[in-house]
Amino acid sequence: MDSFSLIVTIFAYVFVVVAYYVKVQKYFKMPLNLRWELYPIPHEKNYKYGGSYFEEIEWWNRPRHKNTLRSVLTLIKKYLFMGSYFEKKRWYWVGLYPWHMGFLLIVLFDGLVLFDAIFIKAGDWVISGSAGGGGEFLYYFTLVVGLTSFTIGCMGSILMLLFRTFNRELKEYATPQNYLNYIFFLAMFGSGWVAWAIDDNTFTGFREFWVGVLSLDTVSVGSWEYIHIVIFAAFLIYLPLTRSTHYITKILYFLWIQWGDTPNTGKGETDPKLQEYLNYEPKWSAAHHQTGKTWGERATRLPEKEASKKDTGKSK
Amino acid sequence: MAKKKIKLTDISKKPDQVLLPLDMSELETLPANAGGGETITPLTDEQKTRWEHNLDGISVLNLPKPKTKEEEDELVRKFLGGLEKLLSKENNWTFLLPLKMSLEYCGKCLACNEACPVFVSSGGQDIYRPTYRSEVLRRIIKKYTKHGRAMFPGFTDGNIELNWATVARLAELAYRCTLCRRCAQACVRGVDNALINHELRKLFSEEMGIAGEALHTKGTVQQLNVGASTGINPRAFADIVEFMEDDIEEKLGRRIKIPVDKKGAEVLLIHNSGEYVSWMQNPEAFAIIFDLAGIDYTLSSELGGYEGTNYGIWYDDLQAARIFLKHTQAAKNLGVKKIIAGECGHEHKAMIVIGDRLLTKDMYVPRESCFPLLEQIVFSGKLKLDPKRNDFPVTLHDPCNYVRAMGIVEPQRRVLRHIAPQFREMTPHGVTNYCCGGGSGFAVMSPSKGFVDWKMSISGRMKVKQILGAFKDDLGPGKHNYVCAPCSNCKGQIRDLIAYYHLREKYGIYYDGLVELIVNAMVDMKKPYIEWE
Repeated sequence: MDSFSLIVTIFAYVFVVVAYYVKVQKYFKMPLNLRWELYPIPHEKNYKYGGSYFEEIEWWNRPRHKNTLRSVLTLIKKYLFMGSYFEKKRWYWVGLYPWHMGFLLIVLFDGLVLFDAIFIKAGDWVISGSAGGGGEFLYYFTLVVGLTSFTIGCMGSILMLLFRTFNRELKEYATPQNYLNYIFFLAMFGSGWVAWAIDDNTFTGFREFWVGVLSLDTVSVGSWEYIHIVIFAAFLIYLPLTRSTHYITKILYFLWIQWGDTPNTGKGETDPKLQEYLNYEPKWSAAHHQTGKTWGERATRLPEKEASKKDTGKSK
Repeated sequence: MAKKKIKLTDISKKPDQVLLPLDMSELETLPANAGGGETITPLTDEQKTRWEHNLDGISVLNLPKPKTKEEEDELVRKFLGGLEKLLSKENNWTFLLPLKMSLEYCGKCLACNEACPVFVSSGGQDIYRPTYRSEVLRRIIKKYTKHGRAMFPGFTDGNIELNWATVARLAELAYRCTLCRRCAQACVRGVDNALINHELRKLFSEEMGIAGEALHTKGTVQQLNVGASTGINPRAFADIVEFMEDDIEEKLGRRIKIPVDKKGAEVLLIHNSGEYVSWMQNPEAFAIIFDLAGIDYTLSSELGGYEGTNYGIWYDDLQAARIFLKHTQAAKNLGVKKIIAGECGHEHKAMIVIGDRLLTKDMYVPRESCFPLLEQIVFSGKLKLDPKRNDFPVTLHDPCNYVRAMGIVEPQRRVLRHIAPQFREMTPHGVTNYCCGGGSGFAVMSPSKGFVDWKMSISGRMKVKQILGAFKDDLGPGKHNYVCAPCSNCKGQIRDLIAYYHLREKYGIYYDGLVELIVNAMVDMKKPYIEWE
């Protein structure tokens, strides 16, 4: 192996972490939006039928029930099963689910190989099918995760490509990037599969490669393993340029917006933020906006023309 | 006839032609042989000359046609300017975060489409997909704006051409969605196409001054100037209260005093003023129940204090905030401990949810729904109730604004199970209910006959199907089937649907609110409160 795969791998990992951080961080800097929740909300006591604390009289005087564990479990369920697709669009789920699981598993596979390498390097572990104990477990676990990822990833990529090509509706909404993605990801999963079938059906090469990465040494691997390592690094670099951030932002969206039912209790916790927003000077041009005034001034004072029209004929 | 397939890029093409000439034979069929002869009244030749109608032949906004190419270009430029503002925090701090996330992460799987009653009822017309307008807007943003521009827009996000036809069609398309948010419930990633539509309406209103007349000029502007979107001013309100007291005396056999502007009362009760105009039996029923239950409440005659509507939440954040702050100011002036929203869905959402983060400590007033209180009263034994008085089929319509968007699901049901022996659910119901078809202001909008036909035959179609399904074993002329619709705007839409499909004459279907049923069950009432004719 040349140093290229070593450098590109290290670069890819640094890049993906930094790029994701930058992309996600911008959402943390955005203003607190007005409430826009949508039921059912998993942390609510009456989640089963979509109920909320608004069903109680003087809810602001009652202790607030919040089942955070159920929210976490609901999110995990969404990631692991994609049940909504299964219920609403099952034929699509048949392609999307293996594709999606392929990604999760290939990341897990990569993590496992790194994990294996750490044990090999730091603890002189032997990781093989006959090592016994933890070494044998890690060997088989890594093997199963890797093979499953490559197999279902290939299957998912092909099915998604076919769906986007032959289904009129999906094709209409597809972009050239979608097709590139399916082909690129097929190459990534496929190269892993071929590397296993031709070069090394124990994944020992990948482990040795990672031992080399940890030592900053170049290590010789099979040619298909080499191809897969480079494609996977390219995949990591490419990921932030796709919509894949949704794996992270989805959590934020649910927690902050769809399930964001934290009420204003009137104690002024959000007042500093709100004061900042009320001091913004919007530039909207419609007549009912008042140029030069802050958001707060506009909300509390009517335009003079409208204010002068007010009916003051209150009954005596 | 084969359905016309419409591409995303078609929105900017053939500006002089209607993109989707509606074919009513494609509509979803209704049970019990209902419907079948629906038509869309075409615009007159004169209207066609004046108004843009190149989306589906219908005009909601009565958008004047630009006279010159320069005028067109100026409007497109304004639209783009508005789009930039929509994507900046100084102009759109209120919804920037959910908007950006919904724009960025759609997987284009279209799984949300089948959840949309408008799309399904129309027979699956491409332009009514919840994803259609969102995707067009997304592509415009990626290609034409500074704030959201993509590096290779055609490659990563697809192509679109921005011209006046695109803008005019998008403006109309923003008013083909009831903002019911069933699509958002269906999305695995939480992408909210209804929110994108809400933001699109906002852009047109806050930048270009384009909004439904019933929502803006005759809605929020009138409310802020006169006191109510119905045009009721404080003087007229006082007359109405007096009339209600007379009417109650006739029905109940004794006079009760409806408290108005009672300083220091526990509760400020705010109704949708549409109730005073079209369904006075509703605020009267509240007055009877609250009086008998000994609730310390008041109505307000202050400008902004007797009208619960807030159409601003459907199209304009500034107008929404102005109205919301009037409500809380009225409560502050009276020194009440809380505001209770009457039977009005969007009043609930505007006052309790949307406005919540607009309140600083000094403006804070707790706000709650009327339904938990009604439930408590019904089960307290303070009212003598005889459920046999309600021994007729009853079903419940779930208003999107306080059910799907607020999770108020069971209190009204527990009341119905207690007082209506033949209560049955619609399918689906609760948080997965279908909109009445009058959501987002449609119920009060009649800008052209064609749009009225559209909201009856398309946006309200699913509700008709559900109502007929709920009463399927009890349908027939002369029967008494009651649709309990505890929301002013939903009631308006259901009233119009009943008339449009002759549901009363053919199937014995009636409608009204929840409090009317409670009062109807009261043994104190000399005669039935519900009038079937």
